[in-house]
Amino acid sequence: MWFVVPLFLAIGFLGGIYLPVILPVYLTKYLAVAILAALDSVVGGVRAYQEGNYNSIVLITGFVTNSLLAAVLAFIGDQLGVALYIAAVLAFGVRIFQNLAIFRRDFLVKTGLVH
Amino acid sequence: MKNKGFKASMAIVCLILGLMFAAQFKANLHNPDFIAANKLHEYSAQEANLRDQNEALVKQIISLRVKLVNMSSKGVDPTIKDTLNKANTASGFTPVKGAGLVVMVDDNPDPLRIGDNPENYIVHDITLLYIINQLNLGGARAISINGERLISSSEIRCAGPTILINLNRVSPPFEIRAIGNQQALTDALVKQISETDKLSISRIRMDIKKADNLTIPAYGGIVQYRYARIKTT
Repeated sequence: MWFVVPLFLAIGFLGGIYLPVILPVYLTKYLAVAILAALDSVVGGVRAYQEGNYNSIVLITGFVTNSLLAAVLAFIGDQLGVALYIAAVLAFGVRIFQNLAIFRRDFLVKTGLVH
Repeated sequence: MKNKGFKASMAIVCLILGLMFAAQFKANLHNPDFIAANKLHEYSAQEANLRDQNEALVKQIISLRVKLVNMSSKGVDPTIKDTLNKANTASGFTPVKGAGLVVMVDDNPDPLRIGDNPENYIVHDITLLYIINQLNLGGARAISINGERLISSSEIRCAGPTILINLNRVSPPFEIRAIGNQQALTDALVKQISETDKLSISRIRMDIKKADNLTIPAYGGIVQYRYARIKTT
């Protein structure tokens, strides 16, 4: 079921490559943290699915707000001269690893490789 | 039902995430400041290659010029030949040798003394210009700095941490070679210094050596006359 993740990631990536729009360089910094936040949402969603309490509304709202918040935080940090994006990188980075670890554990238990 | 709507919502989210990845990827590819490591290697190899080519071409220019000088003075009247030789020496198009001075000029390696201006510890374009001027005053007939022959149109100018001479980059230590009367050249450099100039070169290192068999290379650049014409009448 979660084959949709790699499949649509690939479709989105290819679509983006062929789209004739190039992001201005100064925005890449903010997009980078937004990507991290979005990645966290996806990993969290996969984990929730594995645990059986997946909710579309939670995923989509989390995806949108977290990405925007991370980008805005990075932007504000730049304006203030404080590297606030580190907060986003740390928070989402830790969560991604945690969720992946839990997902892996659940997956192994479900497939019977680990009891 | 558990996990309702997983496929559709996850598909949308992943699609957008994929787009974001692509946007970032593309932006970095088009970023002029972003040079991938493999490109860097390629560029540095290209640069070394062009540098070698340039050096070879400079050598060719000089050897062709010397050939031209020899050919044009073949079988001509000795008076004309003498004038031609003088003109060629003065122009800097031929390598010359003879007795003269080697002046080594370098930045001061000592730690900065309190109250001193660090600007006084490094060799500036103006320092070299001053030394060249003094050498000319002492009757130098040919001068080169780090292998760059100075001709009548040679510029010496500051370009960040280096100095440009004949549009080529030179950096300290500077080896200034001058052919001329050794005593006169030394006097011009050591004795005939004004008080302000003394101050400006007091902190840098200058080492004057006499040399009896100096070779000064020919000018390797190209001279084009677009505005100046010889006045015939």
